[in-house]
Amino acid sequence: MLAYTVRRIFGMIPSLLLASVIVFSFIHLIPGDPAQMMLGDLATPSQVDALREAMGLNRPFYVQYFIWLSGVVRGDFGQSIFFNQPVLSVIADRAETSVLLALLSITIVILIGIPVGVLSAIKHNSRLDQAVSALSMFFASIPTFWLGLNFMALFSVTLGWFPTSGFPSILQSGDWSNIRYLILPAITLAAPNSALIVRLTRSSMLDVSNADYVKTARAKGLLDWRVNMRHIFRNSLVAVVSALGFTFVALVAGAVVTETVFSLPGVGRLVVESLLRRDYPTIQGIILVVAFLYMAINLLVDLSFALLDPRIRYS
Amino acid sequence: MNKKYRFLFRRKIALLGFLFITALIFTAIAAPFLARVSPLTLDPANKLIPPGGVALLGTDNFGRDVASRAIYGARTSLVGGFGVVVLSTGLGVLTGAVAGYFRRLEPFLMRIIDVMMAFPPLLLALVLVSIFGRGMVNVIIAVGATYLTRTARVVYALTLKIRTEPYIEAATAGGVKPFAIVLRHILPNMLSPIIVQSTFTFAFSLLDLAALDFLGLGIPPAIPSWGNMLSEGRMYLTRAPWLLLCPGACIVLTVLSFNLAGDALRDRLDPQLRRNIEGV
Amino acid sequence: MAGDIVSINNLRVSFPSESARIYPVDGVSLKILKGETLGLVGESGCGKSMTSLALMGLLPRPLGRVDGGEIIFKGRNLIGIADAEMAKVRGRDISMIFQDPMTSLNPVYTVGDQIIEAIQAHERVPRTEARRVAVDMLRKVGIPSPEKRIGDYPHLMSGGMRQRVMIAMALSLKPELLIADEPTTALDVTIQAQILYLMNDLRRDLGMSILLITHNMGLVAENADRIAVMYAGRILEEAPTKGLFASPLHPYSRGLLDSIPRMTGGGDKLQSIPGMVPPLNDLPKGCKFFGRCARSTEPCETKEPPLFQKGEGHSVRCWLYEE
Repeated sequence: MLAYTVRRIFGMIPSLLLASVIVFSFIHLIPGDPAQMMLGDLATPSQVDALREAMGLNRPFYVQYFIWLSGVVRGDFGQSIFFNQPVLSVIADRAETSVLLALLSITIVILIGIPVGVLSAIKHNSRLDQAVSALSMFFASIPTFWLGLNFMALFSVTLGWFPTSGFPSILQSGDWSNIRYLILPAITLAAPNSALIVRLTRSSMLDVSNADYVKTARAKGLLDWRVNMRHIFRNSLVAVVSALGFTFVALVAGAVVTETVFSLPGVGRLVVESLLRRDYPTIQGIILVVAFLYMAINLLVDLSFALLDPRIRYS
Repeated sequence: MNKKYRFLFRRKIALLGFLFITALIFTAIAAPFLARVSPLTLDPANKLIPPGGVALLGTDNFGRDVASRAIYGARTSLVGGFGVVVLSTGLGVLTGAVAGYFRRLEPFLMRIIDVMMAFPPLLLALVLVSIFGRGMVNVIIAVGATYLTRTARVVYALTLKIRTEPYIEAATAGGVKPFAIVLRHILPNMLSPIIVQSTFTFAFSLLDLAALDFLGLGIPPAIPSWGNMLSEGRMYLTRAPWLLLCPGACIVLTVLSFNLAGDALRDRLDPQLRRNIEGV
Repeated sequence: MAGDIVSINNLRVSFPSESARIYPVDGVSLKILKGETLGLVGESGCGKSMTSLALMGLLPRPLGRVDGGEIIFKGRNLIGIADAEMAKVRGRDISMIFQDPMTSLNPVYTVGDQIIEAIQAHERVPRTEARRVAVDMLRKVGIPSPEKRIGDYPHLMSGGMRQRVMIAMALSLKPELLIADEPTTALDVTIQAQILYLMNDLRRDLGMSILLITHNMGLVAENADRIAVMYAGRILEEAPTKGLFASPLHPYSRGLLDSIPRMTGGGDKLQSIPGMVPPLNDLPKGCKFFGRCARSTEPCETKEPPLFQKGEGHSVRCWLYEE
């Protein structure tokens, strides 16, 4: 198991390097002079020259890359042009909101998506199953931002149950009741992803229920709930857990939109703001962090496969 | 409800999806004849009029006709979705089939595809649009590039499965050239899963296209699109809710229709091939 | 051999199809005597597996259902009893092993866990006790160093070993009837013989009965006391093994016997039965073998024959034997 883990971690290195090359290349996709584009038309030539020099844009591509990469390895992701601060500290300032939002959402996704999917599969073809299928299809088809706007209009503006926008920091104020600012955004973000997990759980349960060993379990005289949980659900977990890796990607994309709708001071909104400000070092930093997190989560998912499936553990 | 009835019910719902798509295509083509006024006509005297008055679905903050903009928005959405599907399917099939059949290129191509999966599609599309600038073509390229990886993975998995079939081995043994095998034997056998996958890509890409518009990094605001309508209407959430309801409902119904269509097509597929498709 | 363990009377199983319901099992009556092995033979799709699943109460839900008849097990009709009651019978009184041992064990639990689970489903015993029984059973089915192998996952075992585990699990509660559905079809020829030998051994040991379901006439010749030949959801002939092999009466049974390769008798050409099994939604009106039968006569086309008694325990569903 330990050897497997180590092997997997080393296996990540080429992917990480490739990801860093892709992220780094973005800035060189910019037609014309990146420094000029980032600073805008109002910048003086000397300002542009200074930025070009600071970012090392005068040197060959691969030299720039290695300078940048050696910085990244040491935790230096470069300077944000807009904030004139290290990129990592700009991201760190916005991390609280996004991390809390993501945790709340994934909790909702797991608590709703998996049980509803299991129930729907057990009651296959019943009215309940039909209703769940229709609802999950519906929620998977709604634009996140539109759902958020509707929730805001209904629950915040009309009913006044939740604050409309913003999120005062919990870390700074110590006031956990501020979490109420994040409830509506978290539900918005969780809705389409829960729908996808419901459908996935249901279909993998139905797949597994045709397996021979399920017939064996029934032939042993086990009661239905035991067959459903210990044999069918247990074996469909691998598919469900692997989908949680993809859910992370979907949550990041959803957070960009949701944080904008609810005016939350998170990394997602930072992406949009930085893009509109052409603050590319910040964008590069965020994308690299997201890609790294994605790979780390996939590593965890793969390691959990080994726990879930002995065939992987022993190979 | 007995089983037979339920089965018909599912079919009817799927049929509604297909009908809606047909109606939408018709609307997009006949937009100039269906719209009461041009979607671009400004009428400051009649701004923010609720539905039912001068305009069937009301007017926006510039006095533009919401119904006309929604009708022309159908055009934008269909062109955008179609462009994304053509681009992502074309390149995705090429990449996936090459990686699946020519094993020497496989590690390299699939590693790139896997790494690209680490970037959330919307995030990647946002960056690409911000670099190349707003505009229909750029948006299609940006979103199409992000969906390419999904199609490539599906086609790759299918190619691996099909290439071990006896009829492919027979063709190889018979001396058919590799490219001919891919073109004449492998691709035709995965045509239906590719069509199903494309239907889902259409549905999902519409959501991303709308999100780009909404975030101000999609097509230029002058072009009527449902995403742009929502982006502008957002300021009038309480004062003029119809600005949000109409385009939002258009997006939901369209995406839902494509998802239903994809589901119905997938149900008719060979279950062996069905497993590889990444849909709803 | 006294009395019967199970008697199936006029069993009818139905499934929905595009137009009308079809009947994979239609009017089957069978008795399984205490301590005997009854061989149920027929081509695939003849209804032999459906008969066994009906016996276990495991017809694929919600499509398949029993439409008539009764299954009397120790004086009690198993048709229509509550699911929870049927679950108590499964695994304890009637056990079953399946065709493919490679897929019949759950890959995520050790073989020990799966046997213990079977025991604890029926007996309120502590885990240590259940484990002791499981080790005993593994030893009985010939698994070397069972104390060690009990902690193995199924994928670490060969097909033959896994089928032994399946047998250990099925017999851990000493059932009175073991249903073996093509138990050796998926195994190597040398392993097949070992598994059948083991099953016979345990049958004598435990005094149970076996319902051996197979398409292989050679298998029943060596292992069954009596044989029932099934075709298109019906029993066409039922006889003691010796009687059937000495003088098969039904043309279909003869066809099956003629299609076994023989070591003796020299260069006779191997016979096959002409035609194909008809689909269940398009069966002949009279005798179901009509159309493939070389000896069919006038009543065969329109009237289905009843079972005619010919000698001790030998019955046949064919107009040729009308008195």
